[in-house]
Amino acid sequence: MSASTGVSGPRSLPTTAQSERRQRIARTLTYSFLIAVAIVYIFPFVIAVVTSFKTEPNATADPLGLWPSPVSTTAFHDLYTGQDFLRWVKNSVIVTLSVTFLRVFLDSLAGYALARLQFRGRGLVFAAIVAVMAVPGVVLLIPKFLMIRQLGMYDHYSGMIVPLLVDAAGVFIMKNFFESIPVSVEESARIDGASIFRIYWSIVLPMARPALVTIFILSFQGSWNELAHFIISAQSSSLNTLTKGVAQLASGQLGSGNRYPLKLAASCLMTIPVAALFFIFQRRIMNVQSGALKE
Amino acid sequence: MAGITLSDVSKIYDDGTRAVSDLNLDVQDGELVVFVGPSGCGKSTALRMIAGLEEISEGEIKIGDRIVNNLRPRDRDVAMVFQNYALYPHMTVAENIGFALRMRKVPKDEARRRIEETAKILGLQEHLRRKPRQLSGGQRQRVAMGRAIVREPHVFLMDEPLSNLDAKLRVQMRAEISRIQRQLRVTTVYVTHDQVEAMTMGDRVAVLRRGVLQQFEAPQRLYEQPANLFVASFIGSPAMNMLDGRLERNGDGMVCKIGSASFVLPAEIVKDRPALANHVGKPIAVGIRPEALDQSESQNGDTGVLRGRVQGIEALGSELLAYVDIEAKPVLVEDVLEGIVDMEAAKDIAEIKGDADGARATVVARLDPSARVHPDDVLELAVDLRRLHFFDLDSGRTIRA
Repeated sequence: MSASTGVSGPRSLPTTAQSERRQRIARTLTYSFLIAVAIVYIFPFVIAVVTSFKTEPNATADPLGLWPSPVSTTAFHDLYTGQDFLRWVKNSVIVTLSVTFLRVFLDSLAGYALARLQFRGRGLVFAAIVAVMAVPGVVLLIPKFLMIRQLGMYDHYSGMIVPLLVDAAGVFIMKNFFESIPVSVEESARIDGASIFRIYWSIVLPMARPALVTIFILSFQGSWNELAHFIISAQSSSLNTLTKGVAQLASGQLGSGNRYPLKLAASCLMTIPVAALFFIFQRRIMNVQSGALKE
Repeated sequence: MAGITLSDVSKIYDDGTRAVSDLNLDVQDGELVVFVGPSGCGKSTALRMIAGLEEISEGEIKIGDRIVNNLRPRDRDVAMVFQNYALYPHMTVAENIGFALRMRKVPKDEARRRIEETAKILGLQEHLRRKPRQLSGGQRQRVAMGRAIVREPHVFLMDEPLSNLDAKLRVQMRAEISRIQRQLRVTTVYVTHDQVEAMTMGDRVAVLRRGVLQQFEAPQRLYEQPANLFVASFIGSPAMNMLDGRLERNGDGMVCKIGSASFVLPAEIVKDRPALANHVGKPIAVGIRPEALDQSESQNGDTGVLRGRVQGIEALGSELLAYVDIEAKPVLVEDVLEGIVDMEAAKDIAEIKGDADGARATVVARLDPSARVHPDDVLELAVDLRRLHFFDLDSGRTIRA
C-alpha cells in the first residue's frame, strides 16, 4: 500500500484515503473470520464446562444451552462419591509423574551420550531412534501388548509405566540441544576434574533447562492424555486412569441415560492439570531460552 | 612447579593430515612460552595435546618428570583458559572459580579462602555472587583466569584468551596476565595468532607454520635474527621489506645489488656471515626492517640509497610510516606471503601481484614523526647496512654460517 502512494506522487492523497478504507475493511473481514474460527474451536469446551453444571434433565432438554438452569454441582458431587473417579486420578498421577520425571532423566542421558560420547555404532543407534519416530504409535500397540504379556508386566503399574519411559522425539530434542552447547565448556570441566557423569549432571544438564522444560511438558501432557497404551497394558478397573475411566463413561458402559453432566464434569476436571502446566511454563520456556546460552 | 618437555610430538588425523609434526621443545619451570603462527599452524592442537584434550599420535609429552601421554586431563595438574572463556553460565562467579576445588574435594573453608584470594588478585571481589551473563567481557575473562589460578596448578595453558576482547582491553589484560604469571611463577604456555601479543608476553616464543616449529627463541632474538623468510615476515609490524637482491664480489668485499641500487656491505657483516660467499652471483632475498630505512640527508647520488616516489604515509604520532615505490623486485614467495597474511588470502595476493611486471616494489620506512614527507615526493632512503637480512631463496633459510 505504501508502494502505491510512493509511485503515484500527485494523486497520493486520495489514494491514501482509499487504501486506508480498504485496509480497514480487510482488517474487519480478517478479524470476523478469525473470531468465527475461534468460536468454533472454543465452543465444545464452553459447552463442556457449562453442561457440567447442569442437571441431567436440563442437559437432555437443552444440550447446547449456554446457561445452566438451575446451576447445579450434582455432577461433581456424583463424581466424587459415586464413581471410581478418585482412583482414576490417583492412577493417572502415579503414572504421569513416574513417566515424566524418568523420561526427562533418561531422554537427556541418551541424548547426551549420542551428542558427545564416542562409541561404535553411534550413528546407527541415532538413525534407529529417528526411524522409530516415523512409525505410527498404533502400529506398535499389538507388539507392545504381546511384549508386556511376555514380560509379566500385564495388568500392573510397571506395564503401564515402563514402555513409556523413553521416547524417540525426546532423545532427539535433547541430543540436538546438547550439541549446541560449546564443547569448550565441557572441556573446561574435564580439566577441572569432573567425570563424564559429573559433567552431564553439574554442567550440561543445568545449561539444558529450556530443553528439559520442553520434554517435561511434552511428557506430562503425553502421558496424562495417553489412552491407547493403558488399554493394552491393563484390564482391571482398579488400574483405570482418568483417560480410560472417562472414555468408559463416555461410551456409556457404566451407567444408564446419557449422563452428560457427569461425563463432562470428569472431562473438565481432567483438563485442569495440563492447562495449569502450560500456564506456568508458557512464560518460562521463552524466558529461559534467551540468555541461557550466553557464554 | 614443573617444566614441560615435548619430544617428537606429532598429531596425525585419521585422514592423514599432520596438524603437528615432530615438535620438539622444552618449557622451563616458571617460564611463559608463546606458541604463535597463522591460523592452522597447529599451535592450538599442540596446546590441547599438552592439556590432554587431544590424543598424542606420536612422541612424548612430559610435565615435570612425568610422562603424561596416557594421563587424563584432570590428572595432569594443568589449568586452561579458553578463547570463549567457557564459563559455566548457570553458576555464580564464586561457583565458577570454585568448581575445580569442589571436584577435588577441597574442604569448604579452604575453598572459600582460596576463592576469595583469587578474586582479590583479579579484582573480582564485588562480583562473586553474579552470574557470567551479568559481567562484561573483561570481567568474564578474569573469571576464566580465576578458575585457572585458584587451582594452583603446575601449568597454565591459555588458548587465545584475549582475542574476544576489544583492542584497548586486550592491551590491559595482556599486561595483567603477564603480571599474574610473574607473580605466581607458574609455567605457562600461551597460544595466540597475534605476533604483538607473542612479542610482548613471551619469555620465549615458538613460531609454528603448518605444524612445524620454525624457530624457538626469545622475542628480541626472533626479531633480530629470524631463522627463515617466514619468521622474518611474520614477526614485526609493519612486516619486513623483502626485496630480490644479488651478491657480487668487489675486491675483498661484497656488493649487494637491489634493483638499480648497489650497496657495499660492511666488512664485519661479510665476516659474520661466511655463507654469503656461496651465494655470489645468485639471486637472494634481502630483508630490510622498516626502521632500517631512513630519510637520506646527503643526497649523494645512487649508491647506498633506495630512491622512489612516496605512495602514502601513515602518521601514527610516535612515528611516521612512509610507503615508497622503488625500482626493485619484491619477493613474493609463499613463505613471505603466508607470514604477512592469512593462508587463504596469500594465494589471491600472489596471483594479483604476479600479474604486475614485478619490477617495482613498495617498501615501508619507519621515519621520525617530524620528517617532512608528503605523498608523491621523491624520497631517498638510506639503508642501515648492518641491519640487512639475507635469505636463500630456495630453502627460505637465513644465510649465515
